[in-house]
Amino acid sequence: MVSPIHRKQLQELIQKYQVNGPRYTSYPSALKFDESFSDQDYYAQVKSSNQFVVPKPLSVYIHIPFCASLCYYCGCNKVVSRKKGIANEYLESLYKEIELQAVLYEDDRLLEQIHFGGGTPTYLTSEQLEELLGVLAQHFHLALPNKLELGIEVDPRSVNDDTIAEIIALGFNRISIGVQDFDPEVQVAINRVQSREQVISVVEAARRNGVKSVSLDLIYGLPKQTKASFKHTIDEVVAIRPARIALYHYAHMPNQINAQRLIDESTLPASSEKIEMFSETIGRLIDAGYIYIGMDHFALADDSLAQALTNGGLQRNFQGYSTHAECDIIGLGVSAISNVNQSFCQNTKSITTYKEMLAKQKLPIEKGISLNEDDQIRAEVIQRLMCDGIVDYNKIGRQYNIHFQYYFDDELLSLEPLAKDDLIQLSQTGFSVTERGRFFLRNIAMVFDVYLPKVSLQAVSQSSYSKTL
Amino acid sequence: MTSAHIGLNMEVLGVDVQQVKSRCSQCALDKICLPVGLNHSEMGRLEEIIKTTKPYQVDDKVYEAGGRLNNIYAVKSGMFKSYIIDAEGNEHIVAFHLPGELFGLDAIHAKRYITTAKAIGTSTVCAIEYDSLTALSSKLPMLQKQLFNLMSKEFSSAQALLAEQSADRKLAGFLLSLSTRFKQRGYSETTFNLVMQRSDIANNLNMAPETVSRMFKRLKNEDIIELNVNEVTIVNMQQLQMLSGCLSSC
Repeated sequence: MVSPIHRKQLQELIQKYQVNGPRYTSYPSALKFDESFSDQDYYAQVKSSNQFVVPKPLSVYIHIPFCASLCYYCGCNKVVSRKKGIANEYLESLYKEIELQAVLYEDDRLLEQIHFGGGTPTYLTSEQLEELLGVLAQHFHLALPNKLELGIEVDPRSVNDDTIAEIIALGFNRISIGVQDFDPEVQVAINRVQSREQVISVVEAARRNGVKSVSLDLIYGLPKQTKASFKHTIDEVVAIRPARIALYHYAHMPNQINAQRLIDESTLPASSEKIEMFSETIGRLIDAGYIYIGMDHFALADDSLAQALTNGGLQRNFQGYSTHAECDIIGLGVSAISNVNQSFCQNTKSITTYKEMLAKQKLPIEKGISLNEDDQIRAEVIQRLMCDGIVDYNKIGRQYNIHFQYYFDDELLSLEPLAKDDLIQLSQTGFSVTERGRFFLRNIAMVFDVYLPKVSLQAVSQSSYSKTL
Repeated sequence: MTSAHIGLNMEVLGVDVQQVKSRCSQCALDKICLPVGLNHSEMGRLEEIIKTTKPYQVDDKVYEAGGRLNNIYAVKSGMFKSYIIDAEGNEHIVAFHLPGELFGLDAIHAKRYITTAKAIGTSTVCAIEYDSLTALSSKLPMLQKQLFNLMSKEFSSAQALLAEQSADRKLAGFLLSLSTRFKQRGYSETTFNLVMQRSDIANNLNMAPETVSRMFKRLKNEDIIELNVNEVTIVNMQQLQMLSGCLSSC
């Protein structure tokens, strides 16, 4: 239970530490990707990744950019269309990309994780999904079914009980459902109207077919949301009792995301109300038996994510948190991001360019970054504190041949105020994130981000990052 | 590519200036490299025939097979590999050279290098003019003794690889050899980084790269080693020695 006093303290801290910053699904953040990164750079990274004494397993992310209708909050790369056949053309290019990518990796590198995101992956029919999995199996070496994590984001409006059964029969064992909010008024304001019954029927169909790990995605800060309405949504979510909950913050950035211009700004909840919404939701979920994993994620105590939090083995990547061993991630499809060896790179966002480049047998990479040694060290520090909550100076020092306390002398000074607020505990040999500190992982990570202007956190809030909370 | 192709990187040059100034008497490797047992004035004479060169970058060649013997080399930092190329054009890695180890000795008989030597990562060497070294060692018995010692070590480690052995035994032996050599150099004997590529290890041990990985995984699953990316920690030294078929200190 979270006592009312603790809730009050937490709320004050949330108020205090509310700044804009990256979500650290990657370090450096995607804003640092550069067009000078070429397919040659990518090949060099893959080659190095093949040369580890035990190369990492592979993970594939596949972006399906199509949606049947436009959700106004969405900043993802997508095309809204109901035109039949549009997906088939895209799949042809995707198959070419799979072929070009798979051949780069040594034969003994097993594909252990496949995740479909979008857009709307369930825009594809079960037949199309089956064909796509077949092409992956033909070109990559798939792990055995019990070792293969196969996940898909489901739009409840695009499926029925039969489609869910078919998807699960294909081998999908992780399903996440975009709920956002159950309130009808909010749903109209974001142009995503779906009943509570639709969501429940997907969850039940999944459970009936043996998939226990269902995740519900929620967003707070949406237009028309109030503390009272969101409390109601959370109550309904808790009643459904999904194994995992992702609670995202809505970042209103109409200058960068066209769809968001369709949202009436005057209906957005005030910043103070959002903070209360967030801290109350945390309390409510914890009272209901959920464990706070970090950043946007909650899980039931018996879920593998919660167990990984206690036992170690948590990973953070573009899909949020995962329990999977560290993989090299291959992003397939438009705008997909790869993370191979010491690099990140992103495919073109344009479907036209994507098709043209693949027709010329060229990987559709648009931009990326090869991490220098400093990037690698900082990425490791951020990964450790986001996942284990412990940064061991000697371990990282040995790994990168640095003296941690000298290397990060400025950063360690900047950590002191955070230690005073009991977000972290500093010791001679390292520091650890406290229980309350887990709610401020982004703020702690920002101390180690060399790309943020150090002088003024105000300046950061003018940038294109979203708010920390 | 030879060392002459190294770009003028200021950072690298900064390191280089230091290298030029450094001397055997100031080198951390003086207890294992050539100057073992030499007194101050003898060391001074040795220093006169030693040149330090610019740092080598990955895949930079120090010398090529067939090239005329001018120098033998002592690794100052980093790591080098030497290999022969067979009639079919395949590389066979003969040895990896750690700091304080000599290479180029294979050229002594024919006065031409038999192997090609390449840097594995950014690495530095001391080049020792061979003719001057033989002349000097005939005058300094301790130098001659140490030179023979180092040559003998190279020879015995090469011979260990010739024996027909199972893959896990070969890999255990490989790790133990590195462990011993790192220990001699004042580094940790239990935790060290494998900077060489898996294809290089595979080539050196004459097994498939997949086998190298499989063997590493097996050692890890049996709690004999821990593996953190390319950092190996030997957890059960005794078990590893048993596996290598060598219980004594070899």
